[in-house]
Amino acid sequence: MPPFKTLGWKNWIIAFLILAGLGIGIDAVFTRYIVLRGPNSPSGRIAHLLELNPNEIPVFGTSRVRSMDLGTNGFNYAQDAASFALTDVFLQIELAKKKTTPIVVEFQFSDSGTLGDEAYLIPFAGDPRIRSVLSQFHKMSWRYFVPGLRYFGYYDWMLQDYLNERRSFYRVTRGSIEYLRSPPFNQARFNQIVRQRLDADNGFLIDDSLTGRLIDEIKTHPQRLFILVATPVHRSCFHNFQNEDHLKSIEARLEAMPNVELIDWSRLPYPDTAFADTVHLRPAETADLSQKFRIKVSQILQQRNLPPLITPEVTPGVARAN
Amino acid sequence: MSDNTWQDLTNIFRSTLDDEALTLSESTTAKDVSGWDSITHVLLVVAVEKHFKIKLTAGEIQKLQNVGELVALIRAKKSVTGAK
Amino acid sequence: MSQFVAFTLVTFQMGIDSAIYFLLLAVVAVLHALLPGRRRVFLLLGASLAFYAATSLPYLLLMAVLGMTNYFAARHLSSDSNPKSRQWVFAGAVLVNLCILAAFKYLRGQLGHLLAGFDHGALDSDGVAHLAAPLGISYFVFAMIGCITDAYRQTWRLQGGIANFLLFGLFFPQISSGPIPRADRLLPQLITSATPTAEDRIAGLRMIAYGLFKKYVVANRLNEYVNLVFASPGEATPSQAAVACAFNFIQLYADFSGYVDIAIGSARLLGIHLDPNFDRPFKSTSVTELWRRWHMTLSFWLRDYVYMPMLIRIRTLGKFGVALALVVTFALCGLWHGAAWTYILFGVSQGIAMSMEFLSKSWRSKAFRGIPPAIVAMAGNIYTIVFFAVTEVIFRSSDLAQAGTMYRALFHWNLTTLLAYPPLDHYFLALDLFALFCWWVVRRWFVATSTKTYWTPWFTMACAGLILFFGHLGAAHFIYATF
Repeated sequence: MPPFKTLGWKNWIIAFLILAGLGIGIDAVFTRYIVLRGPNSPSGRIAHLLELNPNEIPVFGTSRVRSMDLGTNGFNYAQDAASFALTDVFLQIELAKKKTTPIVVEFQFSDSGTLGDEAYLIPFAGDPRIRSVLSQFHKMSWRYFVPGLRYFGYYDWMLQDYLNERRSFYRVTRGSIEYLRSPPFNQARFNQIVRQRLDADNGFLIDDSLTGRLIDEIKTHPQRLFILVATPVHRSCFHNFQNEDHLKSIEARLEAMPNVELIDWSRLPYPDTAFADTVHLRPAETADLSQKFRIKVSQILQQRNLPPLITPEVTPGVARAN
Repeated sequence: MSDNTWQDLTNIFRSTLDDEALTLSESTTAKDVSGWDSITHVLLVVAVEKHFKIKLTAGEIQKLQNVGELVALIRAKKSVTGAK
Repeated sequence: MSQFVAFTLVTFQMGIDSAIYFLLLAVVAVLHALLPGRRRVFLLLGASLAFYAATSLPYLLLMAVLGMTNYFAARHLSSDSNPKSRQWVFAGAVLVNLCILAAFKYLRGQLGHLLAGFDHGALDSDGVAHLAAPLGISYFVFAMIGCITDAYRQTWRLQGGIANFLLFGLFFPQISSGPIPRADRLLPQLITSATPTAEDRIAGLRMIAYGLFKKYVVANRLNEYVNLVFASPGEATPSQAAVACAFNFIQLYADFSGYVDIAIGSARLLGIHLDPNFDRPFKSTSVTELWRRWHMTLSFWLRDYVYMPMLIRIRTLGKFGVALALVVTFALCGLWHGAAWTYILFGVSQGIAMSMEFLSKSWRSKAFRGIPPAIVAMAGNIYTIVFFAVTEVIFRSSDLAQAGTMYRALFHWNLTTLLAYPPLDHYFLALDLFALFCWWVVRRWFVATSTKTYWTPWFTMACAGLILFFGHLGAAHFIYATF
């Protein structure tokens, strides 16, 4: 094929090798110093989960329990907008460990049906449990196994998270917990969000199979105490609640189990001004709730003669300042 | 048939395209003349039809490639009407 | 029938920027070089059919049948048969093309329900309402109507067999969104199927790299900001709305011209020259000029097959006939994008601007006589860009209400709103501006090295590197693939 000769193959190969080398090099540096940089990045938390951490009390769920702070021996693994399917994978990883510490799991009424940001799972695509949940949501890609190519399209997001954590642009990070920064309360804007909520389907919308999986996990791990917590939501979330009885029956079933403590705070009476949106509290209220949660968990641990929480940090002041 | 077609055509082009220095040749096409685009093309045709008192068909207008063809078309049409 | 519906729902699986597409292109390029000239048309046709079949098999059948109908019509029109039968065949062929286009573009909902009637409710009404249009139907139908009209006007005669003709319509790099091919320029190239020269290959690779860069680094990234503002235009400050306006224009250009570069580059790899679709539109000094530089194959198509015939028929109306023809043509241009008032209004606004420019031409040349031409050109350039960016808001909006809210945000000027902070998000605005800077650098490099073969690998790899580290996945598909 003489016409191909003039393409100058040698230069093409050299250029490609340089690009490939650069890709793999940047991938390695990026993974180490940005993606997994500490236990506070979303990926770093998963890396932390894969370790034993024998005395740690883990917290699993979505952004709603992101701020549930349990002090030095607690660790928050919540991932934004994650479906229970992902929480379930995290639970499986935790339950496979030989540990006896309690586990906090968010008791959700509805499921996001997404993985949240799948980019954080990329470094763990080799783990069969993570891979299966990625495939389940059709988010698996062959690229995730090619160093240099796997973060394509995600570099800026991950860098933003990194910068955000250093500078707290839109989130304040303290330990393994986070507070969302939110603009000053605006009643008109809030009413608009509430209107959307009133139009949405409200009720206990978790698929029975997911609830069944949680119950199975609780049953098969009697050595571990499951503290299930439902966070406060705006009263509009209970407008036209479709299946009150179903929720009650599931709550009753959970409470009847010996190794379950159910804390349903979903209907705590907060005013409109306490909410950032209909399902997230504003920073000050979040900090108060977090403290309240710590006291509640301490009481539970005491009642059940379990090792107490260790020196809870007092941090809410920081959040309040925002 | 004494032929001042060229001179008349040049005048029509000059006034329609607003360019006093314009000169035309057999092979002049729309690309060679600034301001001669699809819009003025039709205005040129209207002016030509009016001046030479002829009627071109849609097909003839669309097929015109250069000034030479236009001149040939005008002559052909005029000789037909002249013969009548 | 239910299978038909199910099949047609799955389209756009293989975008022109997907890995599968480039794999296909690479295999075809190698086989193309190995095969003798005569066989090449079958290779390209096979690849085009496979590409189309991957999006939807039933629609491929539809396109093939429509293509063959047009082939026989073009053959009849190219022969010296009697004028009466030519007229009937021409009218019939154009009507069939337009009916298919209208059915799939404008009556898709109704069509879906009709098909669901055979389906006994196996598919929910929601899915059926979203029955996808056949990939590239608008581009295909326009190419067909173009060559049928040329044959009827006897400015072109059908050459080559049916395989060549089908390939002309379905050629895989161009089927999803153009450039709209012209039979007199594309068909002879397909028939000859010359071996691409080294220059073709190099130009092709460079254009593909540059096109992907525009899509991933510029268009997808700017899309983020534009989407954010268009999602809640009521909350945007004038400066945010203005930035969104400008980004929207730039994004549309980067997205569509990026696509076209990939299409033209792919064809170039196979030794085929497609028509250019953009010619530095940002340099235009009038809206009229802009439409000769923007989506050129569409505007030239409209000029030759809609505007000119219409204008010739109403030529006795003089200048007002010109204005009328312009407005009607561009209203149709809007309608071609979709059956929505936003598109029609966008088209009409372009037509009105061009008519105004036309009617004020002699007045303007008198008024601006004393002013240096460079300044007139610069003012014209600014006017054109601002006009186009502002009218593109209607094009982007999902309905007129949204466009109205955007305009209110854009022109809601007072001291507080004007002093309000423009960025929605510092980080992403900074990245957007950096992406535009990269584009400027890459473009300069692209132009500077166009004749230097030596630079091609480095240029291509630099684009690949920028895409890899700085590319944004963003909107999955090319905006113009939906038209």
